[in-house]
Amino acid sequence: MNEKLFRTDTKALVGSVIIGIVMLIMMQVTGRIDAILDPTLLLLNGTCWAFFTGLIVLMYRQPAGIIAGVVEAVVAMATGYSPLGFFFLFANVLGSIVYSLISSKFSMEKLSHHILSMLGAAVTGNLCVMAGLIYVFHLDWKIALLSSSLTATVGTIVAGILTKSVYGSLKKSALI
Amino acid sequence: MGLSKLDPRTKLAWYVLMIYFSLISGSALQLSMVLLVEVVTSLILTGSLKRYKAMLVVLFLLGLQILTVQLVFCREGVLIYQWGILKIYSEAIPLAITGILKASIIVFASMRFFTSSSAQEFTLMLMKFKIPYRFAMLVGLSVRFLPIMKAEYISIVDSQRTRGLKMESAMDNLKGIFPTFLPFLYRSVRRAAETALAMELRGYGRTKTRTFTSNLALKPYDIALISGMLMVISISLVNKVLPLL
Repeated sequence: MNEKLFRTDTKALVGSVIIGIVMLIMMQVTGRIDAILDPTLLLLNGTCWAFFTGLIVLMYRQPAGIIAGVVEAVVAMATGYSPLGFFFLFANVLGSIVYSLISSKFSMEKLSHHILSMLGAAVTGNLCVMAGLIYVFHLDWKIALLSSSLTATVGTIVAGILTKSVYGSLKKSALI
Repeated sequence: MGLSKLDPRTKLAWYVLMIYFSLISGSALQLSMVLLVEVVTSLILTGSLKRYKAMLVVLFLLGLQILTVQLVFCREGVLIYQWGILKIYSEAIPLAITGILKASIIVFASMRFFTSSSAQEFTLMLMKFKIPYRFAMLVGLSVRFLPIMKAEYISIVDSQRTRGLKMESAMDNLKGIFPTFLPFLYRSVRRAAETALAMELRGYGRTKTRTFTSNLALKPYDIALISGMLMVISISLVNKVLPLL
């Protein structure tokens, strides 16, 4: 089994569930701020999603990334927190897999490694949300593309920097 | 027959059917029919729609967003109103209604499916789909930890407030993300490590299989319902590929 891609010990499985719940709570907090500051772009929410998608994969590998994504989306749907929860299911799973595949090729010691991995995850995840915006909300594809591109760009840069910083602190603290 | 008597797999088949119809239906009339069927079956099986109250507020806000975006950006149909650069086209409102109906069906069906069974029933369902119990049991863990983690986040916010952190306006909340989020994340990672250790000490993952206090078995009416729903989806798909006269 490729150790850079997979980790199935109890700590990784339990961690994926608990960090998935942390992700859900933080998505609610940032979602509420976004609803006031930028209701159509959801820049904070998108950045928070990208950050957690990357951090969970770096901490616990797969299938923890997929489990955390599914936990976040399913709890959001079950509690009625987010009407877009159904699309997050695909965005979370595919984004996490893409992040895993890209990050496994790098040492993840440079900022560029984090940005590149995050770019793959953010583009994949936002493509899923874009499909939802077009097929369900009947938004014009140009508007959906513009909104998703903006969210992906901000998410890639900000979440890439944050992931490097927080992952570095967690490693230093020997918590993972 | 109550909703609780149905097998989770039957509820999953119903959920898939509803999502399928919400995605393939194009007109507001078709979508209204699907939503009506969903609401009526829910009312018959559970006897109350009280639990969906919270969803109505979320859907109302979402509906307003969809309507605003369609009014501002939709360019289909004929121009019916112009004020400066704002142009409203005739197709904006029908498209917004269709979008709101589709979103309502998806949200309603999702909420119903995920709240219709207990965590143990979902675990057993996943095990019937040949998922190892180490993964399937995480459903129960997530249900157990959701209120605990919420309480932990609130306690961190409260303790930061007592240290003088302002959390009143949206800008204050924005500034307060890092001082509240980072301690929350670090505490969660520590909690995950402690919980994993406690679970391993109690024998979690030691053997490949384990026993449960209950078991899932498809009853004849479950088989009939699942077969019926799969048949409806199959006929609809065949009709899409090879349209009947």
